[in-house]
Amino acid sequence: MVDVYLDGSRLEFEDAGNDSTIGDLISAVERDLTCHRRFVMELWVDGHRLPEWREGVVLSKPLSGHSDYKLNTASMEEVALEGLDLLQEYIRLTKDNVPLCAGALRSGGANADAAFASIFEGLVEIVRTADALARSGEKYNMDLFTENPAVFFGPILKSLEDIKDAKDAGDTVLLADLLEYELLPFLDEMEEKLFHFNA
Amino acid sequence: MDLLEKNLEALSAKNPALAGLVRGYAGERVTVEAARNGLPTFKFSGRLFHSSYDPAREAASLADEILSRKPDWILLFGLGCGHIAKALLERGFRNILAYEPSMEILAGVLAGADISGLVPDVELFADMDLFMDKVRDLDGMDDLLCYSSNPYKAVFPACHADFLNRVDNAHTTSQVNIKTDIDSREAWIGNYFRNLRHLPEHAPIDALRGAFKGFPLIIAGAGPSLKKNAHLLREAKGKAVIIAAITAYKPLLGFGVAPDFVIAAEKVDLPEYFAYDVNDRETRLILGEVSHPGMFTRDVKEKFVFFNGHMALSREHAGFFGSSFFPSMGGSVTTVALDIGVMLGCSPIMFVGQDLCFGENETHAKGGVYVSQDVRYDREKGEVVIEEDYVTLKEKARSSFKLLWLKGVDGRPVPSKYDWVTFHQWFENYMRTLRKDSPGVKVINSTEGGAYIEGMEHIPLRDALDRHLGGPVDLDERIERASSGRGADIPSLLASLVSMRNALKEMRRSAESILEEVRRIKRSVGDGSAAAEAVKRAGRIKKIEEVLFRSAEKSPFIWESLSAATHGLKAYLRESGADVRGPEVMKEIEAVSAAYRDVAEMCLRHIPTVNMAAEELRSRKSTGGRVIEATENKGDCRDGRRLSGR
Repeated sequence: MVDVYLDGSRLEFEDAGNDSTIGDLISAVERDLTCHRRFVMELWVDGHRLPEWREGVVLSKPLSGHSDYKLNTASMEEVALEGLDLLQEYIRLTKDNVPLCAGALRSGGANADAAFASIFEGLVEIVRTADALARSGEKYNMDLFTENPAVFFGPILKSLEDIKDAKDAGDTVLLADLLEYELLPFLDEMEEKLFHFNA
Repeated sequence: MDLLEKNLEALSAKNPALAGLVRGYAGERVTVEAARNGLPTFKFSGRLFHSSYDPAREAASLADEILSRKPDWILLFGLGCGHIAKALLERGFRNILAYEPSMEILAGVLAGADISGLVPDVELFADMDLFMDKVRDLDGMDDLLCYSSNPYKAVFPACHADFLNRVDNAHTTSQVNIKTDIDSREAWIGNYFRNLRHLPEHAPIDALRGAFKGFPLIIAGAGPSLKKNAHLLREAKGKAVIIAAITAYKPLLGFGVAPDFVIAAEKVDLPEYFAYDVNDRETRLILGEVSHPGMFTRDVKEKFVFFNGHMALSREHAGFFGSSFFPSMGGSVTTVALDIGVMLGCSPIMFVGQDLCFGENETHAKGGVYVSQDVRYDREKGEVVIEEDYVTLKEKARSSFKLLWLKGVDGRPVPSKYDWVTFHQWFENYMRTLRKDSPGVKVINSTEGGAYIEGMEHIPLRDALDRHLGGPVDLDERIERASSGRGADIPSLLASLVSMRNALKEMRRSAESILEEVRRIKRSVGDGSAAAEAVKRAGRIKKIEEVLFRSAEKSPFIWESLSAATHGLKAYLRESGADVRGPEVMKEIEAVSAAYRDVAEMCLRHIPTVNMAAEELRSRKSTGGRVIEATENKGDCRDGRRLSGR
């Protein structure tokens, strides 16, 4: 017998065959929440918050393994705002890494590779997060961006290709130029044009 | 006037040889293009060498980073379009040397970018040997910073590595020279005065000038690889002159080879290097005039002397012994032997045992003074540790050195240390000069292992002997004929010593007077009345200094004997910086005081030494026509005779 709480209220959940998983519980709850434009945001099990609860390892665990489940939810708008914050943070961090990386590339600094990897990963996350937000906004009819972020995806991919070519050629001066004089202004422009307001 | 001409005109004023080289260059040139801001940039080997947007901004940030490390000199590997050099100059930094590894880049840049404004302030080189010559001329106490932008490092990796290694080695050489000067100068001067009683008995080595024209010479060092081919030298006996470094003497005897000459110049006595048997009595010693006096007492067949051109005393006195030859020397007796060989007229000159690097587990050939050795490398620390059992020591000695690298005869790096690297630098430098000045002299490195020496032919000793050994020659007869009837000009020598002694006395008096003035300044600084009193006293010190300097001019060696104090003062000034104020004045006074205390002490030390040397010379009797006696008072020949033929 397990106890399930949703936003502090006890929920009736029947694990009839005693073989349900945590994933089954989440799915059932989210089915009910969708019409209320809400999502499960946090999961606490036996008094412990599970930060990585969306991962398969957690979702596939049998529900009967624990006795106490607490689920906290957030509205679609709250989720979207959090996503926008995250996107802005990715852009800001990536921009911060550009001069560090360009400087290291020019001076032959040992941290050039690490800074470059951060920029590359940052760009991937920017595209992924913006895309997910754009799709959710469309689905739930929310006006999240002033412009469709998809118009920036093409130039970002092109920029990534140029950067990769310069990196493969070992042309560190060109790479620094591309980062500082192409990518950085582009991220500035994206930040300025994409959001209704900047944090 | 086009850009190329403008640049070459500026370059010609500073470095006409390089300008001529570029004028005659007919190869490919990089194409200089304009960056977005109009400044020059270019691509080479598929890479941009400067920003294609704003090369000046790029250079500015690099210059700031470079200068944050506070170097005394910046050595640029790659000038490119000169943006970094320009940024450094704009920040007030003037000590810049630039080596451009590619003529393609240099010629292209000179044709496509205006660097005429840089050329007067930045010494530019396209020849790494000349660049290293310049590096060797820099003060060994200065901090050198090598800088290369990423594209240069990426496109010229081997050349860049070679550049760094050679700068490191060249700078090590300068530092070694300073250290040697500090450690040895005083001892050399002391030895010289003590040797004065021996020197008239021995002919200078240049008595044999030209005596072996076209005759082969073999110079044996004591490197570990001597064991590979020393046995072959038996067949060279009588068909070539064999000069052994003193360290190689006993190892050679172990191979049945008795050298014709053994050369030594150490400031300390080295009795353990001799055999004390018939071999000693069949060989001749070539000794530096500053060698330890004990070396002049060894029982050998004959002794020759060479004079050191770096010593003011020797330059002043060599002529009195009939010598006008000051061998070029690179810190090792084999370097001296090479220049002596050239002076003797020998060719080819063959080296054996000149490894200049560590062997498998030893520094020297077996059979000498090392009973056993253990050499361990710590590559992470860049250090080599040597533990050795020396023949005269009861306990094992342990020493560690910074690990340095030289190119080996097989092209691979070989581990070395500072002194060998210094010798190596000298050899390569000497060979470049020899090629220009005496192209007919062939020098062969038949060391079968060890470091590659640019400018020498590298062939096995077997081949070298087969090609160059002729018939036997009576070496004794040639040596006897060339060296007989030489003598020393004792009267002039005595007069010089008397003059030195008087100058030393005068200097000592002046130094003591300056110290007294300094003591009074200190007191006045202490009671707050510094300004007026100090100015008055400083004026007096200046006048006394003038007297002191005039006295010192008579004997320049005096300044040389103060080299340790000079370097100490220089190190102090570097630490304190140029802007010394307030309480620092006391430190300054202390520094001045210490310097003149050194002068006074040095005078006190040398006066009796010079006196004793003069006394010994005065009491000499004429021996075998070598010496002419004189009185001190007249300062010239008692019997009015002077030796001729000098």
